[in-house]
Amino acid sequence: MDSTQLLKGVLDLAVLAVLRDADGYGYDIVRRLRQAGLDEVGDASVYGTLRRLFQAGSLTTYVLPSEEGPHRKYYALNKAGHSQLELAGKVWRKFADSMNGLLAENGVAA
Amino acid sequence: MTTATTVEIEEYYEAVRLALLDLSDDVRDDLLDDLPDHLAEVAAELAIERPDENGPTLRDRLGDPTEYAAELRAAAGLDPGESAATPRMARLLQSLPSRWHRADASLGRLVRYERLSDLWSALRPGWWILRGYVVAQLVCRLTRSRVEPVPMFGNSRFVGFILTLALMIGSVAVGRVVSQGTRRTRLPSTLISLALGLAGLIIASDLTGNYVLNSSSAASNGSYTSYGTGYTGYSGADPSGITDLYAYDNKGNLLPGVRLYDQQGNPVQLGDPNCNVGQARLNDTTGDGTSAWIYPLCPADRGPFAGGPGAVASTAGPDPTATTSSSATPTISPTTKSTPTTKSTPTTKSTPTTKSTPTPRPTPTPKARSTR
Repeated sequence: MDSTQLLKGVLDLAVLAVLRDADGYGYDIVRRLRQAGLDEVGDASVYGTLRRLFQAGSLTTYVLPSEEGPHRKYYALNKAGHSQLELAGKVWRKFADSMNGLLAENGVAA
Repeated sequence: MTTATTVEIEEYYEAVRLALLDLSDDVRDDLLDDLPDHLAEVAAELAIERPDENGPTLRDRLGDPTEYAAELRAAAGLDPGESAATPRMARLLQSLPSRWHRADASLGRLVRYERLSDLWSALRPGWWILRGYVVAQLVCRLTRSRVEPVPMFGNSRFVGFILTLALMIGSVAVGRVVSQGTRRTRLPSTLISLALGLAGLIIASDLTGNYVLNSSSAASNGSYTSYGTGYTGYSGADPSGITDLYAYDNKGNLLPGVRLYDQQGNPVQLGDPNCNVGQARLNDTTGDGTSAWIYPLCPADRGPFAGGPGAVASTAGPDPTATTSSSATPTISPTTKSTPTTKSTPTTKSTPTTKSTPTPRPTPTPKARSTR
């Protein structure tokens, strides 16, 4: 199964989770997602998701100068973002538990 | 960051922007806000991964710009239906950049370049030099009525040459400066270059018109009308293959010392003046100061009929028409009428006159009197 399809449904959650650890700018978030094992995450998808979450009021932004030169737009979770992460996280865990249980019953190794 | 990646980033950004053209300006600007930085980051990463030029490109890493735009649009929760609903024309427009890139690469392979635009870049300094030459031609054209291969400033070849050299150098310097500018500053220069290119074509047609076309068309017309004053410096055989001209009167007698002019009073200068061993070129002051040539340029005994039909006619006796027309002078039809040629035995005397009077007096008249 193509994991990019799965990713579509949970990318919001993944981005929110990454931002809970620390604020980040766009490409930094892409890299952190990949480091976390989500290799197939698309750059454009992350940028689009950031924009949508910002529009929905889950993120705040601020600009910091970077060492290399250009200013960078940093994204941070706000209160709404934190509660969205909590809520979506619960949904995912429940969903994942159900799936894992289903697969274990049928003898599929993890 | 190298300029190559800067250009790459610019092109990629532009392609993504084009694919999002159907969105409102606010939404699009918002979507594209992070893109330049993002592209710069990816390019910087690529630069580390590939120190040489042949590594993966932005396109390899991020996919086709239109796909990138579609992904961005979908992830941002914008209606992708909008783009599907864009008219065929708009979609064609959107695909133009990538089509261009593909064509650029495949045409480039034809000439063993990675891209055709690389070849163009390599040719640019050549164009800068040519551009300087065109400007020099335009400036010199203001000072005189004719175009020369090496521009003449007024009547000075030297000033023209120095001017041309200076303008070529200047043009290259300008080209260097402008080519390092931004797209916006390059535009006026591009327009000026286009205009100069056009002017160059006109000058080229002027030049070929003076030096090739006229003579060949004149040769095919059989009339040598279009010889301007520009031929004064020209020597050597005419491209039409004519090396000399021989004029005959209606009796078939060779006329020595003939000067030819066109309808504008310009001397007709055809053939090889170096053949002119014994005869001097007359300075013609009635024209525009250029010398008129005296025909025939070569000594008369080197003429097409070896001594001239006059000599033939005199030996022919009672029926000169048969011999003259059959022997070598089919073109000199007037001789058919020349029954008086029997009387015109003086022509035998007159032929030496060509040799005896090499000083080309503008008057063949004494000879004309002797024949009648």
